[in-house]
Amino acid sequence: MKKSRSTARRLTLTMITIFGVVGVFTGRLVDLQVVQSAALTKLAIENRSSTVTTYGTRGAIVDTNGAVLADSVDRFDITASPKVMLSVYKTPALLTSALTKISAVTGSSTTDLVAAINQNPKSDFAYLVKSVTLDVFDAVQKLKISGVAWEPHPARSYPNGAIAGNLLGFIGTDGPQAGIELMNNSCLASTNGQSTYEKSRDGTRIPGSTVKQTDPKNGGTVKLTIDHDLQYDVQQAIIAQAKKIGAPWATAVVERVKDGHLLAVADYPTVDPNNVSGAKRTALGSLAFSTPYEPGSTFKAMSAASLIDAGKITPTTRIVVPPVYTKGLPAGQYIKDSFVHGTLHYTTAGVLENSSNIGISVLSEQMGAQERHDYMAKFGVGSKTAVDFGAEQSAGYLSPANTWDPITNRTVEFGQGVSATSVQVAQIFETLANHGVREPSTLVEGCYHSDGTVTDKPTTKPVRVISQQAADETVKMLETVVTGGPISDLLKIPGYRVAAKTGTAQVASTNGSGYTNKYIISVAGIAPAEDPQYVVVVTFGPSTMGSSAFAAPAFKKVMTEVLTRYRVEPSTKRAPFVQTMW
Amino acid sequence: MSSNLAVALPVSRPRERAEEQHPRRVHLVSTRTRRLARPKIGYAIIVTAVIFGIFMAQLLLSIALSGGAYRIGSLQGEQRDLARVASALNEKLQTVGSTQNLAANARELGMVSDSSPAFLRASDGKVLGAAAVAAHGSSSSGRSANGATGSVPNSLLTDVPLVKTSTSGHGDANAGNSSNGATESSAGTPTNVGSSETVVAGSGDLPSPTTH
Repeated sequence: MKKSRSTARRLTLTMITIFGVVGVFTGRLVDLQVVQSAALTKLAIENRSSTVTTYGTRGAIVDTNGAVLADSVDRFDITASPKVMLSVYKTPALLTSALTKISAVTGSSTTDLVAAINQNPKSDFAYLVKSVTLDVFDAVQKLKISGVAWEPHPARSYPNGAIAGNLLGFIGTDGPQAGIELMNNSCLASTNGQSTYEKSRDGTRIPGSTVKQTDPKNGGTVKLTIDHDLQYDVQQAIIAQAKKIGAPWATAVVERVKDGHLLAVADYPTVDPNNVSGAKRTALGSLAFSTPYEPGSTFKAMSAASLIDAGKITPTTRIVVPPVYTKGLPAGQYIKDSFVHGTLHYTTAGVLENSSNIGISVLSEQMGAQERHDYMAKFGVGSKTAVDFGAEQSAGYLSPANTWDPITNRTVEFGQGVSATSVQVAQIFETLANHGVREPSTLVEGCYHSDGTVTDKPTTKPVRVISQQAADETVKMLETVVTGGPISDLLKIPGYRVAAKTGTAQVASTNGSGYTNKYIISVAGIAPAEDPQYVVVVTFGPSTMGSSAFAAPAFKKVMTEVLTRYRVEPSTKRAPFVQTMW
Repeated sequence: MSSNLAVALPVSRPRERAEEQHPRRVHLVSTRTRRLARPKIGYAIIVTAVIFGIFMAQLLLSIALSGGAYRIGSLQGEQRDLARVASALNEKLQTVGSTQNLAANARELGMVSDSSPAFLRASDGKVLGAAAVAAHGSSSSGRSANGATGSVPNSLLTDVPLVKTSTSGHGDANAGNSSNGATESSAGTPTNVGSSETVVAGSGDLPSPTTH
């Protein structure tokens, strides 16, 4: 009994021990196979597999006809393993001769290459030549030099160089830096993909072993409203004229009346995005969007249109224009015209034809400051255009009416004491040309994705600013500037009826006291006047040329180009007679 | 009982049994092999063959698969290379198709842009607008021959030469073009040129589009 009891006890003990050990092993087994299973499997797969990044391509920027303005291109960085190279080419002479072969095809200096290898002899990685084209890359590969490798280096190319360069922006080492490249980055940017699979020793994928794969997503194509051939001609026209008159900068805007599409937005100085380092820092953006200026007399068209819309005046309202305007101004201050005259008898049309500051001041007495301010705001002065040009776009400057001093109260009517960008001025004339309805200015038609969807379409809606009658009558009055104004001969385009307004604005001195002897000159025009289709605004930065006659040749050239390019049929009727004097 | 049994059996029965059993044993063995051993070998052969077959099939399949993997690998490599070539060629095409390059080549051929727009309406042959002879502008003022520099530069064109058919032919084409333009305008549309002159000289009238 005693013996059997101790046996039983031992047996129990053994059993317990065995169960205990088995339990521990089972527990561990469950832990490994069930609890940690997923994590361990993942680890195991990671050990066996490698992850490869697959690159998407950044989208292109094209013009309205599909011509490529910016595109992604393949470039390659030639790299090397100094450790391998130095072990293969044991003497400096051998190394130099191997590297000379590379420098011969890449055009880089052998000394630099040798230095790159010797900089860190134990390293496994060094850049030899960066960003070479496929031809060069192929040539380097054919040399079959031990220790030389490569990596892809996606780059950006602008096939049309400086055409619309100021609008496109460019890509720096940290990504898009300006212009469309930056504003529309969310459309253009690609998403890199990844594929993880198990690899054999020679690097070939083991069949059926793809663990996970995310496809790369190519960026969308941004389509601009710009016509790049027109843009080229417009850029040439303003650059030639700017150089001729010594203007430090110039802009030109061509806008289609029916939909507000900007067909050309030219800036001088220009930048070739392929060669950003060759351009001045100030030349990188688009002045037409970024730089407001006192527009001068081109604003008179808007002032007259507002007064007509409010029912205060008509095109034939008769006024007496004194030699100087002093009404309501503090003693000693006066407003004068660009030409000396005695007392004149103008109609509203005559005020515009001869661009009389005094005349528009007299007319503006008909309406209160706040109301005139509100009309300007309605025309878009002081607020950014609908174009999404981000922080680069300026809203211009329109101060509240209650801050206007007596002289500003009048000068705003002829575009001094107020500022606007070229695109804003174009927008004002588009509204006049489009029978009083502003079609918001548009630069991007949309973002076209590879799956056929289109995003980033302009969502803005047309806005009625003034009545059709007021707009049409203003355009009719502006025709007198081209048929009989002081520089009409420079503005006339044979065969076409053109309505235009010139602007010569003395530049305010930077210290805030008075004006310098420099002028910003501009011409804003509409053609054909009987059925407005295109608006052209050319502006030349401060020069000593104090007459818009120096801007007129560029305007004529650009407008002629626009009318020819878009096959606008010549006018068949003469401009109607508009009474300008009495 | 026991002695009787002990004597009788060992002598007679083994013989009898041996005699009897011998043919029986042969029979039994043969029937056993038929019943048991033969089917076993058959199974073994079948199983072995099947297993062998499976292994072979798996091996072949695996060879085929990895062959496919290598083929996929090489084809993907080829596709990548070809895509690169296509992209590089496209890049070159875009560069030579750039406006600067086309304009430079057009200038080289003696082409000029007309600053006075006019249209010939096909339906009734009317000339709309004021046609004038295009002025032969200065061909390369302020810009390099190929458009790489100049007012609207394109640095991609730095190493792109102009397209030239032949040096002599190019000169002829240039001369021929300008003289051609002159004869055409003087002989072909005299009234038209006249009308444009009156307009430019300027009473402010539109050109009368009556020329036929």
